[in-house]
Amino acid sequence: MSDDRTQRGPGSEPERARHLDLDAMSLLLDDALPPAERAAAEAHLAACPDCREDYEELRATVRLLHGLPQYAPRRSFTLTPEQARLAVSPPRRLSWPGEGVLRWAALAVAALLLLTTVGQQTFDRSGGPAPSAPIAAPAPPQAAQPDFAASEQGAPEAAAPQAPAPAAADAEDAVSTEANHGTESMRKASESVDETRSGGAIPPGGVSGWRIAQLGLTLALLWLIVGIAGLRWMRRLH
Amino acid sequence: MSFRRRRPPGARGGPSDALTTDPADALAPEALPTPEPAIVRDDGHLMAAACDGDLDAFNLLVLRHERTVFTICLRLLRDVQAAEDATQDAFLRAWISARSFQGGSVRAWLLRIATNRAYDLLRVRARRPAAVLETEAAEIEPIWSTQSAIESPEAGALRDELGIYLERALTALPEDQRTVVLLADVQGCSYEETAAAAGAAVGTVKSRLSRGRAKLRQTLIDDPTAAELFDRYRRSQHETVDAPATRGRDSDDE
Repeated sequence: MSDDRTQRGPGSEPERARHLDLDAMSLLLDDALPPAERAAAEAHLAACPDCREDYEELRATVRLLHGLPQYAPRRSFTLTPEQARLAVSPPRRLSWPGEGVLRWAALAVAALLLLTTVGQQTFDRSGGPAPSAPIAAPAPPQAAQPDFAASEQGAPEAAAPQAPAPAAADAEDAVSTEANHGTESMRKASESVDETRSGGAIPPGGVSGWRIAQLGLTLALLWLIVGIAGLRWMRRLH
Repeated sequence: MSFRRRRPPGARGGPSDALTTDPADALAPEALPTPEPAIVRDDGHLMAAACDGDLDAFNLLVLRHERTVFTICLRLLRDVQAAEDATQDAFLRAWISARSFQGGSVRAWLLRIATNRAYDLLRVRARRPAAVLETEAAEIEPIWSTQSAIESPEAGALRDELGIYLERALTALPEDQRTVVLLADVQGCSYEETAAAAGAAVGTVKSRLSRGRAKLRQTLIDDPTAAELFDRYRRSQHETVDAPATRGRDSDDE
């Protein structure tokens, strides 16, 4: 469009520079040129028929745009109290700040998970031979451990493709490696405890409280991550 | 509000004190009478009340701006039902997010919500090819033209005919230019309001407006029939206006 000015006539460089460009014309139409520029532009228009022609065409175009009809809607769009209430309350309930809460919750759960892992390790090492040791039942937990580890590893994989909550995913990652490491060394520890005790312990009555806590926390973390991803997805829909 | 336009904005009622020497501006349509209280509260006050949950105050804003919002939605969507949906949706969203209003022009804020909504709908519709035909069919004739023709019959007829070409040319504009032209030239928003409504800087608005106007003019000139009508329209303007070529159309604002 701005080529218009160059197409016209031989137009040596200084001569072309004197022509009004489209932006200047547009501003002049809106009376938005600074006074000095406006005076210069008007002087040029008075002297240059080509620019005046362009300007007149633009002016007629803008006038036509002004004259385009407005449309009266068939009905009014005022909100009824019901609409207003419905519009406000559901979004409040699943309001988006929820994601922040979820993220904090995920971090908190991840921290707890870490804490239990560390706690378990220290407990098993130092408190293992103590009278309370039989509670830490060796056999079933060992059977459960592969599952546990698998779910731990599965979590970041499931979260990674969506990559919705980098912070939470990172935390999860860190926790899971930590936890894997933890369970690994814990398994060794409990094995060695088994060997040293040579089966003298009371047969395992149940799963240790530590592991129940870990399992529960892992599940909670997974749910939180899914929740955060879901929230993000829903928000994108809106 | 709109300092560089003489046309009363949107659904603002009242007689056009703006009817001045310029016939093009005299085309400003009679606004619908809106049931407003005797004490007219300005947009800012109403908005503040709406933030506190005053639905009546908010509905006054709806009445005040619904025609502008609907008109721009209709121009973007070219479909009455879709425009109604977009308008209603925009006002619902505005009500929900009233607290997020950060001052400035309420109209611009509403227009921003509405145009975003309309473009969303357009994109959804673009994925369903069936609906495109519908838009073509709705393109031709305005259904509720509310303008009062205070101009020579010939100029009015020419303007109506050219309007069809102009509406078509508008749909061919790039999205950003179309938005700005609709806001500034069709709805009469100031540069500042247009910038707020389009989510762009004032400088960007100026250049988009200039490019959009130039493109529209070019489209009119490139079509032989439209070019002939355009030429006659311009001559009819000259006869009635008798304004010096160098005067901007808003120059009598001062």
